[in-house]
Amino acid sequence: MSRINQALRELQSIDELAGGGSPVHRFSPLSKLLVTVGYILTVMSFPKYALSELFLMILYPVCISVLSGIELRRAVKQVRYVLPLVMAVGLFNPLLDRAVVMYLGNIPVSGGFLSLVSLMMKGVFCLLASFFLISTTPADRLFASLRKIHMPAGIVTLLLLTWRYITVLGEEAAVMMTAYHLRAPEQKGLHWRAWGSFIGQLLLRTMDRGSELYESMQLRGYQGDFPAVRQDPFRLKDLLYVLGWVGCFIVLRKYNIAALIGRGAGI
Amino acid sequence: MIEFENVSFRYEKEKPVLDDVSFRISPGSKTGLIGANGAGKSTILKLLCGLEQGSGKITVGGLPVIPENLSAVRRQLGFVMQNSDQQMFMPTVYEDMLFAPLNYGVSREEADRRIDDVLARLNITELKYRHNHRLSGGEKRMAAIAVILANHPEVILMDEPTSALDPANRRMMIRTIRELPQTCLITSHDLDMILDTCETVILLHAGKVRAAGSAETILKDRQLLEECHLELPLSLAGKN
Repeated sequence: MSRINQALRELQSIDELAGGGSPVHRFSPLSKLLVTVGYILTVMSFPKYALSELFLMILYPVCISVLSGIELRRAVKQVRYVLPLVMAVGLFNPLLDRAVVMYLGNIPVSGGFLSLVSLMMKGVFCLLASFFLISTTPADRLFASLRKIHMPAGIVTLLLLTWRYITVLGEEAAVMMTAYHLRAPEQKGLHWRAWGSFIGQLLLRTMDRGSELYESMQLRGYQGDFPAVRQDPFRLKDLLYVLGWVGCFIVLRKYNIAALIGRGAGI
Repeated sequence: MIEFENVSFRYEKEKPVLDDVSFRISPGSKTGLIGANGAGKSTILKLLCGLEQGSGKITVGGLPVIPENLSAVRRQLGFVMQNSDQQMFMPTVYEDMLFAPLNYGVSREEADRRIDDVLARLNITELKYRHNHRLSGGEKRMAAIAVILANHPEVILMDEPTSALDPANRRMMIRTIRELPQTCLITSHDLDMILDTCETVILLHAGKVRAAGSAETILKDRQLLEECHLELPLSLAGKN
C-alpha cells in the first residue's frame, strides 16, 4: 500500500474512531475543544527547564485514553509523522545553551539538552491532546461547535469544506501515485522532473472533483450552511468537564506536584 | 412533467452538443435516454437541473428552468450521478440522507422518519450508520439512490445507474428502478437495462433527437441503432 493510501486510511480510521460511544465521546465538542485549548496553553506555558512539572501533564492524555478506550500506543503511532519536525525545532538548543544546570548522578546536563527534551515533551503532549480531540469528536461537529463561540459561519463552512477537500486530495493523489509507480516500477518516490506536472494534474483533478461535489451539494439545496451537522447543546455536565480539567491544569501548573510527592516521600 | 422545446446548447465556441432538441416526458413514466458517447445525454440531465444553461425552453412540473426558479425546480428533482463518490460527501449514509431534507426546511424528526422509511423500502437499513468510504460499489449506488429518495423528489434523473456494477447488483438496481413510483429519466449504454425498466426511449444522435417512442420498438430496430453507433440489446440480438 502506498504511503498516501496508508495516510488516507489512517485519516478515515480517525473519522471512524470519532463516531464511538465512550463517556468522552458523549461530552459536547465545544467542551472538549475548550479543554484541549486549555491543555495546550498550559503545556506551552511551562518554563523550558521545568521537566518534572511538565512530565505530570501526561496525566490528561492518559486519562482520556483510558476513558475513551483509544490506546495511548495508537495515539503515539499516529503522531509519529510530526515528531521529526518537533525534534528539528529544538535540535540546536544543546549547541547554543551549554551551561550546566543540573547533574544526573555525576553526569552534567546542559540547559540546552533540558530545553530540547522539554520542547519535545511539549510537542508530543500537544499532538496527543489534539489527536484525542479529533478521535473522540467527529470533525463536522467539532467545526460546527465553533459557531457557539460566535465564529463567523463563513469560516466554519470553510473549515468543513477544507476537511472534506483533504480526503478528495488524498484520494486523487493516491490514484495518481499508483498510476505513476505502475509505469515507473524502479523509481523510489516521485522523480523531481515529474513534480511540476504531478502537482498541476493533482490540482486540476481535485478541482474537477471538487466542482462535481459542489454541484451535488447545490442540487440538494446547499445554501452555504450544513444543517445536517448536529449542533450539540452545551449542558451542565459539559461545563463541569471543562471546569474540572481546567482546575487540574491550574493545579499542575501552579504547584510542583512531583517535588511535593518527592519531599513527602523523603527523597 | 418534463418538457424540452427547441433546446440547443454548446460549450464555448465548440460544435453544438444539443441542436434544437424537443421532447416531452409524461408524469410517472420511465424514459430511457440513449445514444453513443458524446450524443448529449449527460448534458440534457445537467440542463434539467440548471447546472448548465442553453437556449430554448425547459420546464419541470410546469416550472421553467431559469435561475429564479432553480431552488423550486431542484426540489422536485433527484439526480443520481454516475459516480457515487461524487454524489456523497458526508461521512455516513445517514448524514448524507439528512442533507437535502434539512436544507429544504424539513424538520429533523420528519427527515429521520423519511430516512428509515426509504432505507427499509430499499432493504438497506444496515447501511444507515455506515461510513461512505466503507461501502462497496453496489452498496454505494443503492445508498446514492436512498440519498435522493429521502428528499421525496417527483422526478428522478439517473446517469448510468448500472455502470461498474456486478450482475447481482445490476439485477438489484433494475428491480429497484422498476419499483420507483416517480417519473424517471435514465441515461445508459446498458440497453438491456433500459429495455427492462423503461416504457419509452429517446434516442439521441449528434445532438439531435433521432427517435422517440416505445422502448420495444426503438430498441428492436437494428438499423436505426446501428446508424446511431449503437447495437441491439443482448437479449434481443439473437432474435433478429
